[in-house]
Amino acid sequence: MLFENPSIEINELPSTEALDFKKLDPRYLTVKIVNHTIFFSFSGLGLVLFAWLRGGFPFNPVYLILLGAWVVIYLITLWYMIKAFQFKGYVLRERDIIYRKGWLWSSTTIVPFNRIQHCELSQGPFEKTYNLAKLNIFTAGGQSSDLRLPGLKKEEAARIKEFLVNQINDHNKPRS
Amino acid sequence: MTTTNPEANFNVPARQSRAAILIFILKFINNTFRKGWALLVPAFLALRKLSLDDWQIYVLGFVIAAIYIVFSYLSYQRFFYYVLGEKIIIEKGILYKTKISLPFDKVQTINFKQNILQQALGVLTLEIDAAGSGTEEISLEALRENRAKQFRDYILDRRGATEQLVEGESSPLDSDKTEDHTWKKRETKTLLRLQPVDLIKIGISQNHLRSMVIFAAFVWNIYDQLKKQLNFNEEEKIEELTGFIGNEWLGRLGLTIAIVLLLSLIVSLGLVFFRNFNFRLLETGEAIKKRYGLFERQEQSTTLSKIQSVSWGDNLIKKLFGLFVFRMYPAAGTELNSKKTISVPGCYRRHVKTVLDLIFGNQEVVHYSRHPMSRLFIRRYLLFSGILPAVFLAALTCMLNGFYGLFFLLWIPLAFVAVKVYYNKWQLFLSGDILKIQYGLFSHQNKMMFFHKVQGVKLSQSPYQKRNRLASLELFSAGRNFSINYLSYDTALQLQNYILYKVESYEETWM
Repeated sequence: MLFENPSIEINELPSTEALDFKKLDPRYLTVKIVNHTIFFSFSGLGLVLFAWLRGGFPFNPVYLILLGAWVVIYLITLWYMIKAFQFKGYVLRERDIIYRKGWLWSSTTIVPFNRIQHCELSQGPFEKTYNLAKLNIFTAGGQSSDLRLPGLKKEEAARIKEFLVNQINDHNKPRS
Repeated sequence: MTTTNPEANFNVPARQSRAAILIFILKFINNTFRKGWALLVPAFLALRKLSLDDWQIYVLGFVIAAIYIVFSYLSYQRFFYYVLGEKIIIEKGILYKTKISLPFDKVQTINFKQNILQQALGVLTLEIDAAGSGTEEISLEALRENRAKQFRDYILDRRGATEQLVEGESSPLDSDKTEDHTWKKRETKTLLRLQPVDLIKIGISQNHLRSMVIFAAFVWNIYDQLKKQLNFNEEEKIEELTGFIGNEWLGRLGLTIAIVLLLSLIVSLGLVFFRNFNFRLLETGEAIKKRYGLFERQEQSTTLSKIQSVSWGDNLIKKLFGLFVFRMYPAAGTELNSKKTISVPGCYRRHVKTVLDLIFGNQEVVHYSRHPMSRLFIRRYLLFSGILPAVFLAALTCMLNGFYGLFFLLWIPLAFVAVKVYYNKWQLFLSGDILKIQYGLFSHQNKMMFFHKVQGVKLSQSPYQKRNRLASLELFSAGRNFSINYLSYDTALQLQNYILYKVESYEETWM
């Protein structure tokens, strides 16, 4: 037993296990793939340029092996990303918000509404074209405890944000 | 808002003590030398070239002094502090006027400082630290002692009052209750006081490594200088001196080490002694205060409710004296700020108990259940910090130097003992409201917090943890984060659900 003198039945507390997680917008995966590809293309281009300036490209086998390794890394990370995407999801409960992610390495972050300091929306350039947004939820626990919820439709993100702001105001009653 | 105590009326703009003029003069002179020294040298040379008469120099000196005095006087004259509504306001500046306003509920800690001059003048510096990432920080450098204390109490009270009123949803201006709350008599209780003997013990058990490095460099430098200046005769004398220990070179090394050790011990002792002279930890109402210092008397304070977590622990030498280092972590804006940590350099078990009782309630009546970490910790740590590195190094050395490398395998039993000790020491203690973690290898460390101070929770699993049904639980707080690894997944999940329940059903503010 976890506690010697529980005032409540611990096993009957609402559990975060077996919740119905809401998946992120599939278009967010496209955004991620595009971002990932752009990043890898630029770094790959840098590699090619470096090899070119040093001379010997594309005949030097060292550069070819490096380039090959780079492509393999790109494909593996891409594959992991796609595979892991379906594990990303969030749940809004009555008193907290939960964000789960990860396939092999997984984590669940939970922030109670009465500990949220403020929240804001942000949009990257590609997210904008798909009308997606990221909801950033800040607490007093420092950067590691801030919750970043990506891949939401902009309207949905705004709706959740408004809901959270109302929750915060309910907890911190209006100041005179 | 009116108040019956005219001495303590902070709603009218007030100047600091007149001593401020003197303090400002010294500050300006100090600033001139610190920031303007690059200009002073050419100016001085230019003056030399002008070859002034004596009386001209006197006039010049007089003019400069007059400028300093006028500026200091004006700075004093134009510096006002007061309370307006729910804010502390500072107005200052001679040519460019600045106005700082700081709401009560942003006030984090209030500290007192007093240097020798301030002690002589009977004034002190009041520093008010604010929450948030902004650089709002107020410092009043010349408040009369009792006025400063009144102001501090007033701020602490008003901050409590605004929080209460917010909860009670009434106007801050009308009720008599506010009045009572603001001026209720506070009793100061001494939680702990360090005697000179305690300071000596603390000094001895301090980590001397830092002072040692400084002194090693210092001694080396002197030795180098001496070598250059001494002639052969005198060097022989040194050899005579050191020779009797045995081998010349060894003797010299031994002597140097002994001197360095002794000196660093003396320096540590001196630093600890003067810094923490007359160290006291006090409790006044809802606030906890630390007062210390011989040459510079300092004070640091925070309210009990701002403290997010505490930690205490010893080291090998401290254990001999039965001493603990105790730290309190108040909410610190966005990031953990070590400046705001209130730390006690050394105290005894009974002191730890007193402070814990004050913050967490009487510990004798609290029942804790104990939870060890999973035994898998032993296997895994033995493998990664014992067997694998030892085998690797042994194999590598064997290939290069023959079988001397097998000595590396002795590392494995050592690692096993260390891992086992750590496993045995690590304990998670849980009560209905409090979480305590005990850990350490050579030392005993403890950290403790209320569940309701938690800001967020993260439960994570690696593939290894998934295979063995383990999990890591991270608890974020505004003071310090707690992370618990090698818990069984079910325990971690239960604990997480329970903490969420505690946080979400906690109606009061967490700071």
